[in-house]
Amino acid sequence: MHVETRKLVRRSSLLACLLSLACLGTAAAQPLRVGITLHPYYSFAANIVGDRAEIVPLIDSGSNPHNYTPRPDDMRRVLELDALIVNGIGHDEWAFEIVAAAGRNDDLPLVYANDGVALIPIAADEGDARVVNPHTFVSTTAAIQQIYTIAQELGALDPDNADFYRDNARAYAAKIRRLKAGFMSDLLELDVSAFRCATMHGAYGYLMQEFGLQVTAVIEPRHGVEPTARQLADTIEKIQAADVNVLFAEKYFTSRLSETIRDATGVSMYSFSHMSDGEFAPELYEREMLANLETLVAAVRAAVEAD
Amino acid sequence: MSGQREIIEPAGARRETLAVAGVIAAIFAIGGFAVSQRQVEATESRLFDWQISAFHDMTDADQAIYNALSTASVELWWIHGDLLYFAGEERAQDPWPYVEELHEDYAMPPFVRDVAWRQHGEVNWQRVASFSFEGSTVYHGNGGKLAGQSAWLLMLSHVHKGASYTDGATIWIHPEPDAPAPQTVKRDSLIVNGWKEVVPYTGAMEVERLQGG
Repeated sequence: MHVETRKLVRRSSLLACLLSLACLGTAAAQPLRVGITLHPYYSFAANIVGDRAEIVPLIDSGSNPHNYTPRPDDMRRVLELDALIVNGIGHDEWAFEIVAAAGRNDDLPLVYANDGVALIPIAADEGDARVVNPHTFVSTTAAIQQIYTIAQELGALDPDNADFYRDNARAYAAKIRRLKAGFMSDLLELDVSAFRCATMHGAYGYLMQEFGLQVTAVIEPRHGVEPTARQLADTIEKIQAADVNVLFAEKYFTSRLSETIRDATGVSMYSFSHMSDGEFAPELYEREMLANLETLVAAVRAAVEAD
Repeated sequence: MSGQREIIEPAGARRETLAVAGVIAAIFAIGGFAVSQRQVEATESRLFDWQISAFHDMTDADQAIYNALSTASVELWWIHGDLLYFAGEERAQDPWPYVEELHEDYAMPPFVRDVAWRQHGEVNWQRVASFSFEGSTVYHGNGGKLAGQSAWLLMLSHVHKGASYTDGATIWIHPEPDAPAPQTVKRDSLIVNGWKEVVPYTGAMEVERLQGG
């Protein structure tokens, strides 16, 4: 064999070996480990990545994200993550403490799910300054916007699976829209002008907005800040003046306040899910949203029939 | 006797009272600061005269339509890609979905005619241009029945971003609910004819504010 030919063969063999190693490396690449902070983000992420990434809740499922205090185990979880999906606008500030404590401020990519969401103020809030409503996940439209953002950001971190993530996000969004469409049809038959509601908590502004339903009063616009006696009296007066007929309380958080208001005003009481309780599961968001939509339609129907 | 005198203050709760008052004042101060961090001041405006804030300045119905359009715009680009590359040669010449398709096939707000559409004034939507209307595809909505309702333009076009072009969407409103679709969608022309660009308060802006950016 000619010397130049032998060199060429050797170089070709070397190149083939390197390519093989590169392919092996790709095949053996570990799937992304993606952390999440809130229950709905587990569902969103799990439906987007399928079996091509691992979703890791940052905190235990029984924890209350509203007043969570970081624990040593959380830091261990953060150390193993390739990315972390956060709400970022007022529901998971503790996540930033955990990331900082784990020394990962500089090298952990954060996916801000709400980056592209057009935020709205808390419904019926008083005063000159409007307060941002961070409950974008208790909705379908704002949830879909977040699903798209998460898919795009994870695709940027994992380009080989970017198309897969995007296709899954679209299919998941279509599923969510179909879930809502049936209830929208039910309500289309009713004259919903007889429905006037108040909510215990500000979490449902986005959901009510996408049904075109108004919230007359929010009893406790900010988590854990109960109204004063004066504010409560004013709210009861407002509910009575506006002839509010439905009060939505919290499914997983009991409150004496809601019963007090019901007794004082005679409103019918229903409960919504805040979607931040129970075991983390891919189907949690759909299950809880289904329950919320059933509750909403039942409340509207009852209010209309009683009118 | 050393001659030193020790002053003994009378027994009482004055110090404790002051301490408790101090703690209460601190709690109010911290609480007030925390609440202020959650507020977006109504006066905080960096908009041009030809812009309007989705967060501060829109009616509930218009705000809902804006949010629906904003989310729809992401998927419209993806549907556009499907129609352009996977739906056959004929559709590739007309690669943007019609309003009827968005209603029937996608149940996509704000185009789907459901209870929200009714509650939000029954705006009539139409696709004004299918492709390359001065580089934009436009969905126009007017005829809303609610008081204070706007007319709408959703413009989808490639926008210059850094060294490349990317898919973009801008949303404009007109205070006259029956405003017809404009003849041109050049910005200056829209402004002169009374259209205003809607500027959202996004999650990204809120994150920046919370993080002191």
